[in-house]
Amino acid sequence: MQFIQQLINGVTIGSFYALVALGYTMVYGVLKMINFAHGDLFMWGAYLGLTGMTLLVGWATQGSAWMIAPVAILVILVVALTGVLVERVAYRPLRSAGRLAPIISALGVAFILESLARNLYGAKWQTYPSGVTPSGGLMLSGGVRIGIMQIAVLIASFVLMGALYLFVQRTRLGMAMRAVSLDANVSRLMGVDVDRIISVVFLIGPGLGGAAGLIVALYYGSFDFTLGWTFGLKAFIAAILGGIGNIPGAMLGGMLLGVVETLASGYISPQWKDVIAYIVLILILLFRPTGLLGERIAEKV
Amino acid sequence: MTQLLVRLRQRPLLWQAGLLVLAILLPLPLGDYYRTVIWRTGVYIILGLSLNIIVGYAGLFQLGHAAFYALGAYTAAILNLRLGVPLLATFPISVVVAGLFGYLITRPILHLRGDYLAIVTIAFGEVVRLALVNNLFGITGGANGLSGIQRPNLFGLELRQPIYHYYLMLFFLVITIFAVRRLEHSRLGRAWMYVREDEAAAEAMGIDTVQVKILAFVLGSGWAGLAGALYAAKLTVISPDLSKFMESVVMFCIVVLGGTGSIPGVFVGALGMVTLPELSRPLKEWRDAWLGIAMVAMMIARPEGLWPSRRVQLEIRETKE
Amino acid sequence: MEPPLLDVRNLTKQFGGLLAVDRVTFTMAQGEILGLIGPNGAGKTTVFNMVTGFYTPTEGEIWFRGERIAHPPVGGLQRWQRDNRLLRPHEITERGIARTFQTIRLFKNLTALENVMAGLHHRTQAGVWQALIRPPSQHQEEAYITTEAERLLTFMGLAEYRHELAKNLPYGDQRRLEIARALATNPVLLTLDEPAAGLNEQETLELVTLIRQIRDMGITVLLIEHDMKMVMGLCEHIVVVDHGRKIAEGTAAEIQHNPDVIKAYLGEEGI
Repeated sequence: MQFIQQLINGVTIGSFYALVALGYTMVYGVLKMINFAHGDLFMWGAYLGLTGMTLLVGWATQGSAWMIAPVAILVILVVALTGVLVERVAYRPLRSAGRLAPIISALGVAFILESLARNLYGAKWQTYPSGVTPSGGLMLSGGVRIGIMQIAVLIASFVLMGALYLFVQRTRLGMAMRAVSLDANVSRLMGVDVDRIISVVFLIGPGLGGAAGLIVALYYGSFDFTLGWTFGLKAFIAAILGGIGNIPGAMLGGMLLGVVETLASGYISPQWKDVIAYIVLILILLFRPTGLLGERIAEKV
Repeated sequence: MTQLLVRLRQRPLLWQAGLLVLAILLPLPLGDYYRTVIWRTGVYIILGLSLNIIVGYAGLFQLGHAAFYALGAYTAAILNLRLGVPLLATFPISVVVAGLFGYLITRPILHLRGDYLAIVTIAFGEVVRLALVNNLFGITGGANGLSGIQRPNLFGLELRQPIYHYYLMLFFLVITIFAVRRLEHSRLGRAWMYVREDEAAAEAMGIDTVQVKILAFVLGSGWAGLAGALYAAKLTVISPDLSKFMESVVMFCIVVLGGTGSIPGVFVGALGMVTLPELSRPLKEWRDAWLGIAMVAMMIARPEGLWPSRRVQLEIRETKE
Repeated sequence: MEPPLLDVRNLTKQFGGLLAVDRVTFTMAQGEILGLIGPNGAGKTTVFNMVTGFYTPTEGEIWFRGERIAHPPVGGLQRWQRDNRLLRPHEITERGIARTFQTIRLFKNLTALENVMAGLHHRTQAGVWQALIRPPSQHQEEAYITTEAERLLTFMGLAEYRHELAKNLPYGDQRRLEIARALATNPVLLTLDEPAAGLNEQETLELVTLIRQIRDMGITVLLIEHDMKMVMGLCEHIVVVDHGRKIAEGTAAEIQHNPDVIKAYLGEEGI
């Protein structure tokens, strides 16, 4: 059935959006700011993965699946550290500078990251070395096909999301993160090192984003520098859909957006793939701006 | 130096006239390329001033301003190409259409908090761009846009060369500055200040904050439409890229980096965001990176912008005492 | 008998599981000074917010000068009927109720004069057209706004600060400025939320004199306050709330000896 097929594809894409959305939502949770540069960090995951893969394949003269692990570790580490660096340099000094300044700074960082990528790698389409990712698949009943890659990325995505969820809910550090999201000042008074927590958030969020970049690049096999922009905006919308600042919300939002987008593309028209995200965004903001799982905040007079 | 500024401040007509003369004389010694550069700067000043009403006066986050720029350009183009309306006559219609769209999108979104408002405006900018790319209603020409727009015709003189477009732009720029200043120093301008400072308190003082914000949005958006028409008139070719997010960001930065809420600030912002990059074309590939660095550095060093509104007043008052 | 100026009937406000205001009822006559007192968290500011249109009652109504200005939201199609429309705060101000805030909410980066001019906004007309063209009527209106604002500043003793940024004023003067701004709206009823908070002995006495002057100008005053001495000396009519409910009402003398009031403030043990 075509519907099931679309559903599987939708969930796959949705998990990508979810991984990236988590980065947006976590940062907004603790800093109440939108990290416009997040999409570009995700994009750098794809580019760094490309470099890593190309090097490894060059050294081993042939692509193979085991290469993914070391490259993944490298990518996640570098992007995560970049995230921390960005926070330190571009956002921390602006904590008390009102709401406009962090937005501009974040956009500035986004431009820098984009320009770096465009100049270092070129504006053309990049392709990952072949042979790294398996291309086989399973045929399920009704003509529905699920690729091995799909299974692999779905597992990877869910493992990462599950790990994050456990981390946030079950560890002391995770609890501190939730506390800072609720009220940074009170947390500080309670002895939480807010700066450290924020750094951790910028480690995990971009780290997940970088991982997603690698996964997406492996899945599609090729990409160009507009990846950060298009994916980033949609993941961002997914985060809002679920309720910005809300971690399970980001996961739900990502999944939902991926499914809706794929279904619309399949049943209505491929052109709608791009527009549907914006329509979802406008609807959500009009009728339920705090998102599906978000909380209502009334302004105290 | 401050003595000179104080004296100039006391005789505004003097230095304003001086600037005007300078602006009139400016293109004469320049070649066509640089005349286009200053024309572009002027258009972005108009755009910056229009956005300044929304962001600087009323304090609303508008990151999709380019959409109205594009709507104005397309209105002018479509009226001219399809209905044969002479280009100059399309100008007021572009303003009205852009303003109308401004009204349509604000009414439902005004209750949103700052960050969310920013997001919706980004989305709107993208929706407009996508609608134009996908050739909505069959009149927008798709991804390649529209071309073959007629030259504007002023009393029989066909405006073809860049220098004529510069003076056309200058004419509207002067009107814009005049209008913006009048608005700033009026009951409405004050209402915008109050809403920006503390919306709940303004509401409690009997100010209809919703109406005030809508007015800012509609006025700012309509004016951007005018800039769009100017663009269409000179380039005779337009594309959906006019509504790109990058365009909106540039306009936003012009207002905020230059100095939020102040007219001179917009001038400074346009010089920095438009003229400077044009003059340093050799660095083009790394242009965005330098821009990004400039943005981050500016926010850290001077988040209120280079020439914010109240500062100059206070500085000079202190000198007087 | 003349209908009351302000008529609060069974006013109730529920925030989720919290019942902040519970069937509070009282009336105010023209020209009186009413003190709304009670321990912290008793619901006083919530009542204020409903009177001034910032919150909508869950139950109950508020009538002002014979008009219903607050009521619970109406569901269904009836919502669109004219009488059932919920009034926004600025419409309440237009009808003659002005307020100050518990934490001072002046326009901090604007001058004292500009702050007071804000109150005159709804009393004037000039729109976009007038701003651009500046016809003589606009000039007259601007002159009126400025002179009125100056007059109020002088009345409050703040004339010297007219071009000073509001945030630079001493605390006590900021409180007075907020009152000046509220007076600029030409209110019939002035609601003050803890106007004496943070004031010293001297400033509080001046405030009492000021409020009496305001009343003598024909303005009715409703105030929330914690300073007992001030309230007892100033208010002829006092309403005491605790945990959202009205527990006593009467003159200062009656309230002072009311056992429920004493219990609410001091707890079972003390007297």
